[in-house]
Amino acid sequence: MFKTIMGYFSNDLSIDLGTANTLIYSRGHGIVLDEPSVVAIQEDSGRGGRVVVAVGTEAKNMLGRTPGNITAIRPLKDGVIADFTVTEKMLQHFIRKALGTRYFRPSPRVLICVPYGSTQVERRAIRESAEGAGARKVHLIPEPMAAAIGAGMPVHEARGSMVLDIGGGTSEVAVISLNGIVYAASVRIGGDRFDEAITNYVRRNYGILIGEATAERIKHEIGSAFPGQEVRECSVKGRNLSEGVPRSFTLNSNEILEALQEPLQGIVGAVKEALEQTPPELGSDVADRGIVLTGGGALLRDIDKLLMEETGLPVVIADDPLTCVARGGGRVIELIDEHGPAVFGLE
Amino acid sequence: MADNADDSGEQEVAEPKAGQRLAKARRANDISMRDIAKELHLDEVKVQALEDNRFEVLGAPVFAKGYLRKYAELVSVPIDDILADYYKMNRASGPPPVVGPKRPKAVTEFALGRWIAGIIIVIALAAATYWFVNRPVLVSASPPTKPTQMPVRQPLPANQESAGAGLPADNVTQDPAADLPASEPAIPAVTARATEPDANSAAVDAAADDELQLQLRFTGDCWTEVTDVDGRRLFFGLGSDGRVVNLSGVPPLRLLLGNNDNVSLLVDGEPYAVRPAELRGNTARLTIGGP
Repeated sequence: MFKTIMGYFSNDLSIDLGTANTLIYSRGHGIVLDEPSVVAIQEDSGRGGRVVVAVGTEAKNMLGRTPGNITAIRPLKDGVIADFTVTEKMLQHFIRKALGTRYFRPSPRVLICVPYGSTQVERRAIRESAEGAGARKVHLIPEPMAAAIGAGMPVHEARGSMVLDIGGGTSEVAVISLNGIVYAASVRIGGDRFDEAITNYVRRNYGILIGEATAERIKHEIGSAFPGQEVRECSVKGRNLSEGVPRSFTLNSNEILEALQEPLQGIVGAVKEALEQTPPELGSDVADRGIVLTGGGALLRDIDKLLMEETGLPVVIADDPLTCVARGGGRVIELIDEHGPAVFGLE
Repeated sequence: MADNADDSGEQEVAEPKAGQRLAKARRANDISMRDIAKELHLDEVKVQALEDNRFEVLGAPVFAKGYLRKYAELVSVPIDDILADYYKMNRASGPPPVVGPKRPKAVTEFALGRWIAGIIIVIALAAATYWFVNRPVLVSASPPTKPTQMPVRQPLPANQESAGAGLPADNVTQDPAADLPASEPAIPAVTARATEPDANSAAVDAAADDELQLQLRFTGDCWTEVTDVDGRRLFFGLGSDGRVVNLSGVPPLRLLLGNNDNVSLLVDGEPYAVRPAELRGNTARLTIGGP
């Protein structure tokens, strides 16, 4: 009862609980939080428990640079919760930060975007984690649906619209028509796999070990999904495995393209599979209008060109692809009041 | 007038047109429309629609903006300029309606729920304040009991009156002064022991030496409970203004005074002040005498 009354004074939140970043959209305020999904934890030997030292950007800066008693971890893996307690603490921190008010902190109604391929157990873990973090009511929506709405696709029309959301842990492809998902698939390939592929490539070809943060920087600077006319270079420092000392070397965009081939082919395969499984009428709609890319992975240079060449269909990148899922969730939460949670088959 | 018409005509010509700028750049780069269509994986009809600024042919804005970006990239025109033109031409067009045209009702700016919740909270706060101001002065842990019948005030042949029902009659007396005619001298409050001619009277007299004399003088309503060392109730009832109750009992005597402000105590004739530690609001719980 108290939570219900307090809820009238609260802002509804849409949360894109991603493997790499967590974004929160507040109703009427827009994107109010965009922080890495990283938590730094200190082992408390005195009490035998774990204490959260830092969350978000502050914790990400600690990744790979922590002393023995502090661990910077990502509590989500492949889009789902890997550490329930830490995820709950992280969500609690983010919700508090998003709501802002310190003394009067009403319980918000929360909509969380979950990977299409997540199991019932994983969804329940996310729901309970949000409830534990102080949410009054929790709705779950499949990420591709939120991404399509956030990108401004005409999901209500009786026409097929295909969206590909490349996140940190998963890539989700879906064909949507009449506010429902006709076909969707989720592959556990995303930005993290790109980083991992770069790390492995450098170790294999240069005998040098680089960290997670360095691999991500290389991806942002010279990462590419399709061969281009311009070859870009990037100076990198890592530990030489044979000598055991740090060494500096230079990587170019063609090498990174080679490194990323395996995860990219996984994503292309998922899109081709979706096109195969889509009913012909909807498939022709997709061929006519094209595929829309969302998520942080859409920012990888020339990934749209790769998909165009591989599928032969037009491919466009949505405006501000990083925030599409959170913004789409925000629009859905605005519509729940009008049409009820059944409008998009919300849980 | 004619000058103004010419000016407006010039302004119309000068208005940004994304499609025309793209077409001009394409021709300057000597690229055919077919090549652009091939690069964008679109029909030539759609490329023509882009150049004619007929963006509705392309579907939702997300597609039109995406194709414009790619087209601008192909013909080396600044993407931001093209998108700025697009936004000027399509300022009114928002994102698609998401749930279709059949919307049952528009979102009302007046959020009734918040007002209702606000009113409920105000009422709850007012009720809490009213209760706090007018809360009962008595806090008793004992279960609700039938109100104890107070001693019947009536003139007594002797200078004593018997205690009410449920109270030990042998050691509770009332000050009859209030009930006596004013002309009569005030009779000092005396502990009256039931004058039972039994064999234990000697023993009782001996015990009286060990007993504590307690006088309760009420200046207002105060629920009072007094028990002796054995837990026997010496007094249990509501004291009212002007009432004086004399008690005697074997210490330690345990007292509960519901409204301490309305009662003063005399122990063996000496005033007894209630210590702050024994107070909880107006309610006092204290022990008098004993080790």
